[in-house]
Amino acid sequence: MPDIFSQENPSCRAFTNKYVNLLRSKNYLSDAHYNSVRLVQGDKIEVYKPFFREREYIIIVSCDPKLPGVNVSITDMGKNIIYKSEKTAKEQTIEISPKKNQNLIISVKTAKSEDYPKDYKGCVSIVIGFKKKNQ
Amino acid sequence: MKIDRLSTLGFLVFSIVLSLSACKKKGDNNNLNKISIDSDSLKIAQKIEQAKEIFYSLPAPHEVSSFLMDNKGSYFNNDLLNPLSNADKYSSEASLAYNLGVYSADLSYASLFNQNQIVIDYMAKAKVLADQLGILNAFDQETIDKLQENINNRDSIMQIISETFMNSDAYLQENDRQDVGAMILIGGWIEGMYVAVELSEKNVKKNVPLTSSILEQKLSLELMNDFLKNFPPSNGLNIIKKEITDLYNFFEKIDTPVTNDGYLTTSPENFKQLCLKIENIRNKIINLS
Repeated sequence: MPDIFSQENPSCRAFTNKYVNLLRSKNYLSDAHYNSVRLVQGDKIEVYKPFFREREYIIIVSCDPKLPGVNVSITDMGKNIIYKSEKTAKEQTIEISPKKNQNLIISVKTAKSEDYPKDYKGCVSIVIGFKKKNQ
Repeated sequence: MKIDRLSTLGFLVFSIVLSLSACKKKGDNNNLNKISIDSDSLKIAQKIEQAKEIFYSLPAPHEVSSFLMDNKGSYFNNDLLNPLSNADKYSSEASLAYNLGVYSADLSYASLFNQNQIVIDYMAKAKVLADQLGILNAFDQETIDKLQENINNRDSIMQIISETFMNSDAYLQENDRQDVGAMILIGGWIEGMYVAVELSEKNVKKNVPLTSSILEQKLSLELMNDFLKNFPPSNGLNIIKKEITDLYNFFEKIDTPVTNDGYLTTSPENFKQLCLKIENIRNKIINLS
């Protein structure tokens, strides 16, 4: 069994698939975007995505266990904050029911901690699913 | 699809968080948060930091089809699909990529209306195009076999289609071929919009939910336009850049008020013009070689 967390394996596909399966188990359909990359502590990535009313969305943000965790914020295109995670965690799930159509930016930043290997590059994944309201 | 942040943000901007706009509540799960976005009034500033990477998550073909066509007034019309025979003329990377998006949108549309044999035929053709593009292990025989095994289960078919797109996206990202990924998405979006405008018969009042969904896609176009502005020059993307920009500028100009029922609408003339623009872009794409 390959070590999906190994830095020798640059791909984060196996890591991401775990969360795609989680999303499916909650009856969401994946938006089919591979928003995954290896990051070190303190790095930040963003996903720009249109969110439509009459839809329900789920965002699952996760990171390699050897990273201290991630913080998540969601803003509109004008950088007005819609959501900000209250604490650092290795896995965060956010459900969104937009009441209007809006392009949003999901920002994910890896936390910094001296308790974790400083230069370790671990997978960080943002998996998004959608379904019709009341589906 | 991802690009470096460097091209879009040159400076760090600092200001103060004033308040939060979304109502938020904790779910049962420890790390589950539910938010309902309805505020457009609060202006909140924040520290903007440079991101290592930005992913533009334009709707994939199955999401576009699901959004546009999954309503009561829509129906399946085989004549709207890009004929499979056209695939023989696609040989350049751009024509293959855009039309892989087109065929992906067609098979997604067909899947919504349980046109199972068409789904399989279009998936097989998508595999041919993906092979020519060198996209490995995304559209494979196993996928087609799985489709056949689940042929009577629409949800499973949509899951398989979504999984295929994701594998393709992952492969392209990991091999630094984001421009190809973008062409596939743009081709798929245009095809989804084309099918929708044809179903509307270019009449703003023919199918109000469908018309509204078409107009709501301005949001995707806005992101697409932003992406095309920021992505490094690419011959393949340049083929369609001007048309996408024109379409976006047209969308920006037209008034789209909300009806009492909550649907977007516009004048019949504007809607017709919009439909014609989409039709022209689609025809340009399927006639690439």
